[in-house]
Amino acid sequence: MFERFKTDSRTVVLDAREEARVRAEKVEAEHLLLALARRSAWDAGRVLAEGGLDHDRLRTALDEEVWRTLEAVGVGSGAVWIPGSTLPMSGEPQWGESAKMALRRAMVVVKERGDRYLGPTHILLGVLRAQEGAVPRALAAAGVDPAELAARAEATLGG
Amino acid sequence: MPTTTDVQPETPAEGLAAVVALRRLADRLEAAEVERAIRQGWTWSRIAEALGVTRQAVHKKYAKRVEAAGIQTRRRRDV
Repeated sequence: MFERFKTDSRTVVLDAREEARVRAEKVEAEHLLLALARRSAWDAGRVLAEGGLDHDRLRTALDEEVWRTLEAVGVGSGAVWIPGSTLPMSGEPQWGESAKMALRRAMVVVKERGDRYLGPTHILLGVLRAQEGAVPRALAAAGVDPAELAARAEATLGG
Repeated sequence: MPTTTDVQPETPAEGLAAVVALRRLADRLEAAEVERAIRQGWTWSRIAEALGVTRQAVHKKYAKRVEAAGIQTRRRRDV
């Protein structure tokens, strides 16, 4: 699956694994987005920052989304934070379905556009195509329109 | 007596998102507590019983990670 990934995209995948390691048991779409937000010098990271989502604000938006969601079913109030395990992940980290789907959608974007390689911006577009899940919910709560972000990201691809 | 309140999320989107958030919270909590139990000398069998799963299931899920962390586990099964 990764053979058409540009070096930058491999970096995003590795960074996403690291993002997941800190707070989750699986790599999910939001970890890909956090990984993209880390690199503000790249188009994808710049588009996110310009849309008001630098790494810190994205992290906060995602955390708040989880707390609100849990509160809606009467679990906890305010910050729910489980410190998590310090056990190292063994071997390859597990990829959650949301992240797999985002990468599949990134491949679809590459094919639709007739691009030769999959870069970080394609991954961003793949993540932004999700209709449900933590990412669209956090973006909506932060007042960020995914379609507008996607349009800006696509503009950086040219063509 | 504590009072109870029926909780129903406003929409299926809310409710389903809550399921995901709870699962992820449970996964994190499980990993953290399995680690703590192992560090305190619990056997895999006892952890499995506490979690309501088989010893094989919990061992398969965490043994490599526990080993990679350099934690000694107990072989004794009669705890």
